[in-house]
Amino acid sequence: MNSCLISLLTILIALLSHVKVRYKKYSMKILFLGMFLTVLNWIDLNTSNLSEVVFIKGFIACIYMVIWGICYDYLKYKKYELFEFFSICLILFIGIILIFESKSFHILYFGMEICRYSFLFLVLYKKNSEKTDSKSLNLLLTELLSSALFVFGLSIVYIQVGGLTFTSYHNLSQNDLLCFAEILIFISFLQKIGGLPFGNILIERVSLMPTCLLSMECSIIQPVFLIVFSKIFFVMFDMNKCAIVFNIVGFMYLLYSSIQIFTQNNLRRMTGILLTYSQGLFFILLGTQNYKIVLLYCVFQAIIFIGFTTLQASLRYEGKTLENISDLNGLGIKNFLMGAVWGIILLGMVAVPPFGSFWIYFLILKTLIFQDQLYLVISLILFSLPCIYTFIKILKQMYIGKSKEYDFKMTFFYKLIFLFIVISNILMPLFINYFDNIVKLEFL
Amino acid sequence: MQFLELLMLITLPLVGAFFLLLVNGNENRIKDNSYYVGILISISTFIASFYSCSKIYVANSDFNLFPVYYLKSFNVSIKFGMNLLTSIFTNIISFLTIVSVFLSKKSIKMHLREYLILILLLEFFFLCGVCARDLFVFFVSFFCISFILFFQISFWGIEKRVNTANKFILYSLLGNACLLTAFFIIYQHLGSLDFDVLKNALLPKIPRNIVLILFVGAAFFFFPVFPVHFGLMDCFTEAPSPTRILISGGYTKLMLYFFIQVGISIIGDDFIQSSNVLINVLCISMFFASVIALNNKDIRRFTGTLHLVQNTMILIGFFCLTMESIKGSLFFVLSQAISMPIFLIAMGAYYEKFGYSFSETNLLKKYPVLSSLIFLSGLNLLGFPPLPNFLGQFLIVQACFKVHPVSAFFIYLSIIFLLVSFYKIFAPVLLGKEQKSIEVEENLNLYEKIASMIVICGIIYLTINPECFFCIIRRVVDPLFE
Repeated sequence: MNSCLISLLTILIALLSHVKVRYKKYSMKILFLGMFLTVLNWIDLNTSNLSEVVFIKGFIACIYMVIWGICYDYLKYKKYELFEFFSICLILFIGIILIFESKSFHILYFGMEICRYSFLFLVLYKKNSEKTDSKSLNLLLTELLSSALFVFGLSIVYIQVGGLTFTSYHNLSQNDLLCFAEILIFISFLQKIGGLPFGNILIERVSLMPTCLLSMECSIIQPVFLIVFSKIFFVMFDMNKCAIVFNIVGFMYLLYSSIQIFTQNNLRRMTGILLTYSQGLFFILLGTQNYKIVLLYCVFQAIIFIGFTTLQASLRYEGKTLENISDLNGLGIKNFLMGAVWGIILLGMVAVPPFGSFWIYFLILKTLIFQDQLYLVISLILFSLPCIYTFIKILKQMYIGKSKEYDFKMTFFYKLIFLFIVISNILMPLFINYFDNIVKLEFL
Repeated sequence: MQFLELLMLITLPLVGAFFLLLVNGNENRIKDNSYYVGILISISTFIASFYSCSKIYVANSDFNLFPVYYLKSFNVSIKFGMNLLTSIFTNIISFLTIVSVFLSKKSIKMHLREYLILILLLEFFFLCGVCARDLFVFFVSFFCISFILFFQISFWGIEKRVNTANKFILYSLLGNACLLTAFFIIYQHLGSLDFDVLKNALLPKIPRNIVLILFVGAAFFFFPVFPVHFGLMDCFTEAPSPTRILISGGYTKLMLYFFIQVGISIIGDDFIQSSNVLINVLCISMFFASVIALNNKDIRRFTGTLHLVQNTMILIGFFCLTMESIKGSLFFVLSQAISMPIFLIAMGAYYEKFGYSFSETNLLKKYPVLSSLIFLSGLNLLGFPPLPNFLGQFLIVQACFKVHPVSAFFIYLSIIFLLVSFYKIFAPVLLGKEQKSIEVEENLNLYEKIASMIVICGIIYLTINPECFFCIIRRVVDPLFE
């Protein structure tokens, strides 16, 4: 809770300094300092035991700070108002802290709402198309609907259980009303993460965002939501009974996204579809009840998506950022290194050996095969084929065709990110081995 | 010592690729230096491979490399090893790489350095795949090979390279999907993908049958076999010549290596039970492929169809599962690896002179060296007696006749169709009336002539003394039937 207070205090001081013309120049510095202090306080490095909780917190904080860096650079280029944007970002971080630290449903709900609505403000911060108004209204309405469902479900849980802490849920006999509440919460959760049958919400949301926010959605919001909700699932549902439901949901996700990906030309929409795909994998993993791989997958998703979205943010032509796949034509010929980085990151996203996601895939398939779910193994392999095919086609386009006059925005910060992503993609098996050794899942 | 030899053999191409990255200077200088580095590295690799092969043959024992790295989370150990069968394939691959590098200077007009880097990387993955002692490493290598080939076809291919590359990767992905699924089923039941474990364990009946179907499916995609041949067929017409050599000699033969190395021990007797059905299917598919060849009017497509028919024959040789047929298949692979490059060198020279259209040119009169090269290598490819390919074909057909005489009839028919189509296409080119006056200038340069002569000498030596290959093949095949 101290970190939340620090954040709020920071925002207050920064706001005061921003209002006064004399101190306006300090407002951004105060915000960054406040952010840094919040992160340090939250990770709590003073603890004697450096457990995996510290590791995960540290990881989230690092990714978040990297995203701040990307957003700062991007917004400066676009000449947006930085102070307002980063103030809302800090509020969003409070939401993440609350979600992560929550031990009861109402705190979780509170954190989730802070997170979602502050993010919605960020998305609608600058209109980038004429359709933004109607689309944003749609988004707001669906968010409200999902919140209503969640609260309704929680109220039933409260009536039945008499409390909202996670621990009060243990050793509880199931009845129809509780089951109904669980279904409501599950549906609202699907809506929140933009899962099926609300997959289009996610894709619409993603298509509205400035590119820098894509990285926030893909690398922070989604993984954190998935990690925490998987924790709730383990608390709420009898996983043995629900495994089949998760498998079906996951299967539908994969089917939907592998069909959708064939028709996409817009890079942002494609990112949205890949997110849907990763959600499908997440559900299948939930069905296997192997929380370690769920965690590993979320960590990997954060890393790889940050690379993908940073690539999109760093490459510009004629004063515009990349929009369509055809904008990548001839990139590899124009700049071999940039082409190679794009290649490694694209291949790392779609299970092409020996790059990153292939190893995660291998672990997922290994888990599935040892649970005698051969049909899922076959469908996973088959569904990965359209993604691989599409990405390879993109890669090919990068080396064929007339190239544009690209403006390579390769600052030292971007180079550092790319280096990290490329190395982690290539050395993924070693990372997984290391991860396997340190994560003991004591916090579950 | 074995450790160092094997490590050197596998990593040499990778070191070469790294050296190529360092080549600097103006465009011509980069081109020349890259070519020399490529040739040097590929020859060194071939020498290393040949040395290892001779050492294994003399010592009559395998090379085994300790696990390079053990991935605990995956229960996979990245380890390599070498036996006589492996050394046959490493020799083929390193020899074909030399020919590819040699040809690339002439056929690759732009970005030669990048192309050579890919060729050396391709060799590296080939050697990794062949020397792998774990199915996982084999699969990863196989996938990387497909991927590099896709790039080579996309960027350095000829006319319809974009479509060809798309088809190639699509079919390869399907083949890889079959392989991966099969490997996971094996992994589920045996808990490991290590060759040593696989050789001493037997899968239960139903998974074994599924694995067999998946292996056969993968083989159909990779060899390729009619009617799933579209992915690879076009590569023989649209891929650059050096890539074509590696596809025909290495990529399409890897599945045969896999079957002989571990496939038989994984599937066991199920191969024998299903061999009748498979031979029938393959013979019919071979017959249809030869009918396609009969209707061809383009030499490039003819080469592709010829390859399709012969690869099917090699697969038939394996599925006959007799000692002679497998020996025949292996011998066929070896002799094809020698005869295919010379045919492609000659055809490359022809394309450069006349383009891709074929008219009556009376080649024999004006370009005797070139035309005799085309003629001889073409006949050898077709397996015309007494050239070495014939011996391989003969052993396969003989074995097939014993197992299934009706199917053998289709093979005879296919071979006749191939000869007829060869005559139909090449007779006007070699012997027809001259239609336009072309300045008389031999189009093979000195190096090409020397290389062709060396390979022709090899073919003649092989014709006279096939025992030099058979003594190795016998040592590989005989233990399988003990």
